[in-house]
Amino acid sequence: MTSSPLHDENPLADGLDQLPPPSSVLVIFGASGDLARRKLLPALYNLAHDGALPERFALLGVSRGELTDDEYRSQVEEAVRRFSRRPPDPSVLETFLGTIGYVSGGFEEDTAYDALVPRLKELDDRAGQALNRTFYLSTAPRFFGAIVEQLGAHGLSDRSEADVRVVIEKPFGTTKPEALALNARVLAVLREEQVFRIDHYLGKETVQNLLALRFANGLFEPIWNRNHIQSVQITAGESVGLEGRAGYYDSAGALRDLVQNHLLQLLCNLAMEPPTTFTADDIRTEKVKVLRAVTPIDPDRIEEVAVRGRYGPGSVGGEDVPGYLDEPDVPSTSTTETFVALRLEVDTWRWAGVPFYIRTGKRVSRKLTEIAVTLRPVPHNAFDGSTVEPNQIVFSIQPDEHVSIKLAAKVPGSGMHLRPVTMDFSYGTAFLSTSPEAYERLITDALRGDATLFTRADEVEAQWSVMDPILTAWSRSSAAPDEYPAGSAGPKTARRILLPGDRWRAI
Amino acid sequence: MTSAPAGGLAVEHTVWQHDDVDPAAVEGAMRALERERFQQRRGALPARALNLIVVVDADFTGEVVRRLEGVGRNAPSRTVLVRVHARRAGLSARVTIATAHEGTADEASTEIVTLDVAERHLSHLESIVDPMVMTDVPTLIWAPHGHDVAVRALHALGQTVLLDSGDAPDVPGGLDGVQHLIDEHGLSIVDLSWLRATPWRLRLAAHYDPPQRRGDLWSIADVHVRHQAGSEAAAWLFLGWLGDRLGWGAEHGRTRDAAGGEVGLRLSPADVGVSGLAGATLTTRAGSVFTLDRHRGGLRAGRTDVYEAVGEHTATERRWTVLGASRGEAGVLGRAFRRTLVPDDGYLGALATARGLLS
Repeated sequence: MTSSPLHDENPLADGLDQLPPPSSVLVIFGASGDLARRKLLPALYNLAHDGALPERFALLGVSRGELTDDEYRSQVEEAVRRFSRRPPDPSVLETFLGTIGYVSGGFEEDTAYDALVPRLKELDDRAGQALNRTFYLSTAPRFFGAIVEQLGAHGLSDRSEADVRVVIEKPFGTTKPEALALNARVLAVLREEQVFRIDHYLGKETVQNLLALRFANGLFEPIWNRNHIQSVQITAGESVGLEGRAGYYDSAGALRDLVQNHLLQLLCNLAMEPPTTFTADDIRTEKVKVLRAVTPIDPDRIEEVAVRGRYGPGSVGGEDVPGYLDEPDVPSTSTTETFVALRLEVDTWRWAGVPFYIRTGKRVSRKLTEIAVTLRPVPHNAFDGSTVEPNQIVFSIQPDEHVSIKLAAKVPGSGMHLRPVTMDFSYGTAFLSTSPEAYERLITDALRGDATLFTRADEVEAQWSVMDPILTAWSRSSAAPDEYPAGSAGPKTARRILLPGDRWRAI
Repeated sequence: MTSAPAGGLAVEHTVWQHDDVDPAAVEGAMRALERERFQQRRGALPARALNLIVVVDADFTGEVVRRLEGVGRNAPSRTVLVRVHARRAGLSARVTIATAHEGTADEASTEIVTLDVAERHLSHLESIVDPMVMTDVPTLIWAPHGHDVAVRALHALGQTVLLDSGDAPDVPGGLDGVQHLIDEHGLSIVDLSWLRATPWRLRLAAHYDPPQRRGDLWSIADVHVRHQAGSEAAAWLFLGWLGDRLGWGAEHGRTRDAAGGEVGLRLSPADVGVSGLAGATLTTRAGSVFTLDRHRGGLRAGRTDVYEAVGEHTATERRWTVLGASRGEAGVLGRAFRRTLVPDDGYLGALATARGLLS
């Protein structure tokens, strides 16, 4: 064989878009669950359609139900037809289904793993190579530790000739001690670089674009500090109710469901210092610094910085809807919050004194996720008769992906009257293609071993360090959450935590 | 006017039409229509991604329009469709603003300006089209029926030319023509023949990505490319890409690799009913073979590994399907529009090497 000095690199990859991930088997635990049906399986089909799956690819579903391979394939086909973002191409779907197998068994029992080992070996044999293995834990959180331990016990957690990775869905613990304990269990079996703790918000284009806008534009970074920014507001509203998830939601609540993970990630992306490089570890190190700089909340002064709410009966989209306590399967004694408003501070040179307002609620007036950065007002208003509102930069994450900047402009006419106008950048109009689903990006990143958009162990622990004092304070209180009518913007008491001059944006 | 929803997407059209019109009036009409659209639907933002100027024979407009309609969401933000008539006194224009809405707050509207011009207008086409092109947005020029005069006139207005090097009567002449456009006019090129082979390049690069396989690339002895009849240019550009990446050169009518070893190149037509490549087989000096062929549901891959142990010569062969949908010509055209926004680093090297291999 002729050797070449370029032997260390793949000369064909240069200049091409990102290559498909290396040949792999993906094993989904919880393969019949809601997340798998609605998100993972349609995402995998769409990756197959786009030619973005590995050259050699196989999917094994693991679940408790007794199913044959063919019966599981039928379930997958139904999920793809129902939830895929595009109508499936019959020939691709048929070929995709041909890559799928099923293993039945309880997640804590040996039988599933005993059956899994020969199936994986058979796939290696058929491919003539040791395939990378990615185990995706899409199960109830109580199984995460046990599955990882079982993988270790059955020799599935590592192999010398290929990579083994484990993707762990949220929530990663429900308190800091739980997160620490789970990390300890997981890291007793796996190395940190094998662990991919998922937060699907990080797979959204707009969230990734936050870093591009901040660090690739001279316009923003010079003003991205306490000298120019008055406040930051991060809002995630949902008009829907529990959608059949009462069991999970009533034990979690809004703080654990959205704030601990998604909204703190948004805060980190907005507040972090520029990383030295855009590698997974450099980015995540900067995020951890932000989380560790969040001023710890004093549980005794929780009322000053946090509000929890619960929706009562109301009207959404013209339909009367029940209050939270009247939802099916919600205990009448529940004190679970469906709305949270927080005021956090990031105690760094850059951000000292700038309030970071975080707000999320179910059954609010509409679905909306956005970050609004409000700049300080101009020092002098020379325009008599006109109120000049501060500039605002709004990053909309859903349902539409766009960025808008609110500016003051003169109203046409003889007088000098000002009013706010917006400059908009919309993904739908500025680029030809639409953004891929977050799960498509995250699955390929996990198969590729790129952990940039996943949460590191110390990161998730730091997130819980921010949340735990709030949970502690609320657990001490016997008071019910403040009620708000379904379809409204949340409880009026949310105003309580605003600093003078600040106000909530409309949902 | 609202068209029936297609795939959950409703499209509203606003139309303005005028004969014997000057370009400034067309521009004015477009602004007026935009204001009108905005007043009707506050969320309807004009798309600002790509201008496309298409110059076509008036008699064959329908075929090009159908191709453009097929690109769906990849449609250019503003299309200026220039219909060329042999003789015509003045200009006629029709402006259509299409607003697609899917139930979200943001709605993007795309614009189509259809201009009827005479052949005599082509040498100064830039002065007609200029007011209709969005500034600060990339502009792509496409003349699928020739009209080189128009392309030359527009080169200062557009940064990139869309073409199909496979349309030329012969492959060397077609590739030389592309090189001429690059050298003489400084234009970037988006070549449909090149884009038709994109999935093949990606899959080939991915196959040889594992470190244990990369060595094979330096010992390729033979490449056999199968192509749809009429897609020979795509096959040569594919070979040009391989040769460029692996340091191949032509010497006395033979192809030599970076170490001076001879590489056999073979092209053969195969009817797969789709333009572009039909298959590719790479064979190493040791006898290992990797092959890809167009197949239902993706590409059919095959690999033969050869082992020698204790004087025994054994081979294992495996076949499997690499998943992926065929995008068809509409998908290739959509990819071409997106390519204008993200320039392709590999094309120039592939073009130069392909011309060298053909010489």
